[in-house]
Amino acid sequence: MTREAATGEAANGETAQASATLDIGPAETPPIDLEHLRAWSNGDEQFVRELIDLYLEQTIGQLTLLRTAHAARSAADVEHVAHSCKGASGTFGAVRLAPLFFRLELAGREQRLDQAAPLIAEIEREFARLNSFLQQSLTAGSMMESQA
Amino acid sequence: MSKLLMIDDDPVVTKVYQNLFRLHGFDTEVAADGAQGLALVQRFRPDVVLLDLGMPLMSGVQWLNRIRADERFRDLPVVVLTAGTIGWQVSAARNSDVTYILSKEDADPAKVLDAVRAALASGGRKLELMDAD
Repeated sequence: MTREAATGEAANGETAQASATLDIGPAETPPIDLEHLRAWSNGDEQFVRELIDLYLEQTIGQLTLLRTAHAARSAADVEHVAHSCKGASGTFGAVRLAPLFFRLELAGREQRLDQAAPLIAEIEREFARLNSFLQQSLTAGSMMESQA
Repeated sequence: MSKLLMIDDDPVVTKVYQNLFRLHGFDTEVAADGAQGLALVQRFRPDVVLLDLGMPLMSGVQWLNRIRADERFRDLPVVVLTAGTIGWQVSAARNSDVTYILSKEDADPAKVLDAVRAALASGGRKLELMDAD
């Protein structure tokens, strides 16, 4: 498949891409793809630690914004923040969070705020699991070697 | 050393990509929004731009339209990096002569580097590259 064709799915058939991307995998899936993180960091432990701190801090702030947007019944803000979280989570390698944020983005875009509350709750559970996983990995030693 | 300007409002994304391009010998500058991007493209004179589409205040598409209206940057290679489900934005970006479109979800370091290097070699032409797989 050409890359043009791949992006064309987004341009011409959001539903097609959504169905391909919404698979969040089983709950026992590790919350982060460490191989992905290694590939992007080139094995730079210090960089990975800084990136983890930045991602956690940024996402905690964005979860607050999401709760505020949902409480204010602002579907547009829910969509916007979820879209941003999706990009950061995908780049970071948070393999279950990224598609959950995508679901929330779609719910916001389609004004389905009744579906946003359970999604936000699920996102918060998954984020807590990721946070715990990362803290344990950092405490245990090298992120570059854990689960290798 | 090739000069790359990245325009993206997400600190996690820019940190990851800035590190990647630094490791591979690029001189890289980052703009956190379109306005900064407009200023930097004139001051820094990049050889290639890596552009997010979904930014507040000035979208990537608006940025592209501004830059393509300036004769100096009409052929500047631009690689779009998007969290990509906003279909109309992707379509509009294609119409603004982007060189390449990448998805943040599917991107890996090799793909991104390949796309940027191909864009640099393209002279601004649109590319129809094949995925390795």
